[in-house]
Amino acid sequence: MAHIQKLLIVEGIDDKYVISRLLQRRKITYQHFEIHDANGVKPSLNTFSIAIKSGNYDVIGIVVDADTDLLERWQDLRNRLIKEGYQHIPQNPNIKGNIITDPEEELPTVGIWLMPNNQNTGMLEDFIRFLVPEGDELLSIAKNKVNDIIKAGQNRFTQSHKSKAIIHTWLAWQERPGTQLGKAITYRFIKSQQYILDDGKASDFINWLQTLFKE
Amino acid sequence: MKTINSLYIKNYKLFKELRIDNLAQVNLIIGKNNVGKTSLLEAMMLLSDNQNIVHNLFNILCLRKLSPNANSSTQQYLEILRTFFHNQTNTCNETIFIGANEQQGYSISLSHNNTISRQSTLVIKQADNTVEEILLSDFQQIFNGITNHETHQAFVSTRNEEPEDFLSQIWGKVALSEKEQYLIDGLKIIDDNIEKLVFIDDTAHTKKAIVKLRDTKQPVLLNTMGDGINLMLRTLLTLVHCENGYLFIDEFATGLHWSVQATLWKMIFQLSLKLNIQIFVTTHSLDTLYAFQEIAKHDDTNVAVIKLQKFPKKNKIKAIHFKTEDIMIAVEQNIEVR
Repeated sequence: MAHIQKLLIVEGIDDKYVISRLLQRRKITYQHFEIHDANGVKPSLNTFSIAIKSGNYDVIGIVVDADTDLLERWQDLRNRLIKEGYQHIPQNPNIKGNIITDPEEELPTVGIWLMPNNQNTGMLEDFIRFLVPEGDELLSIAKNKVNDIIKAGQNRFTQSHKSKAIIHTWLAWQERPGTQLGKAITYRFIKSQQYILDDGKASDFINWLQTLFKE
Repeated sequence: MKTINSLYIKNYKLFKELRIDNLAQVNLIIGKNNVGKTSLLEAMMLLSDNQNIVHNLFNILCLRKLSPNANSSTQQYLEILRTFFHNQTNTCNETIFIGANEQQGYSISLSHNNTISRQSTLVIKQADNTVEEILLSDFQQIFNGITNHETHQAFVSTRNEEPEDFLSQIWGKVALSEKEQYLIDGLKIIDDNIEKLVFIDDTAHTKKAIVKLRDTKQPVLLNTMGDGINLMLRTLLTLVHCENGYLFIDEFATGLHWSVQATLWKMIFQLSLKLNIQIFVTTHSLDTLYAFQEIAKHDDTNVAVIKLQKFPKKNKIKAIHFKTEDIMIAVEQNIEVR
């Protein structure tokens, strides 16, 4: 028995559902594959290190938010990989996602994606916002409203969570108000049966997943 | 007792070459079935004592239930000794090396051209280049003469329960000394009602442990009281026996509830420090790993978790070090490390 064990570590339940639904939408499945919600950024990074060390996984991917300092997040991951024995890890993240293998074939193949797109600061919610079709009026209204609230000092959320405020506001105004992020990936308009989110802009991410996890 | 800080072995059983550094006071060895956990424990035992090598080889054979009987021939001794070598079919050119590193250790080999008599011999060469040659034809006598001499180490295995006589002997040395209190305190953790313990002769003239319980007039046979307390007593007595020495436990407390295991770990950590014992434990159990990190995270004792990992593509086995914090994360995140 030697099937290839694949693990994708994510920061939270929203990430898990969004990625599951993106794969579902493109009819992609992987064998012996698990999306692990580590429940937090530090736990995700620690789980990444332990999973590599455990020797029980052949392919390990991690999806974490770039947050406010992309390079710092990248360096943290880079240092962890160096500690586990990986070599030739680039100083900067690749915008199409990173995949690192061990030429000695002793360490698992690892992949890193920094939400939203390996180059901007931000988080999962920015990634989702990029999937809203061009010219969507409700998105501009939501953006303006959120900015107004911030200007008036009425926001209870911190500025760093602005993307969350915007996307959840937009979702609150859809046919099914309060649809979760994950469900929104596969939600279709009732009349036209068009998807409300355009997954075209998710192609880089999907391609990274495919390169990492496809047999 | 000299602490074993590192191990370097060659050609011992399934280990062509294995190096482990940074061993601790208490070491937990994990890994998949058949990766060599028991063999590693044996190698540690061989490393711990370079003066009684033949005795230890014999002990290892007994533990594996492979010991020669009184009528074994020289050829049979040869076959049995071959089982220690990595390449069992071609032991002519092979040398087992057991040491702390490449420079400090001893080697074992089989020679078929003894200078005196062209007979098969076991050759042991120490770090100071002294050589001992033992004719295989003499082995019968040697093995028959082996008694449990005064060692400060023990190899505990669930496959082989220590005879109660042995345990009662240890008890005999401990009774009424300050160490007796450690034992009672340890037993009380599992059953608070225990006040006193003694070994008595039963009808079959074997020794049995009996305890005085607080609310019961008649003493009770410890055997009737459950696996947890019995294992606790065996472990405590064995720890006491190993003062200033080494303790090797193969397959720790398999089958016991994790909370009982946690109690055992607590006693092991405490007594390893108090009695100056270096301890090596193997397990494949998740409960054991869980119990271990529950206790280790609140304890100062110097511990190490070592995983034996096979690399089939390179045909080798390596030791991977985990810290207590690593195991805590693995347990919390439900990541399989074994």
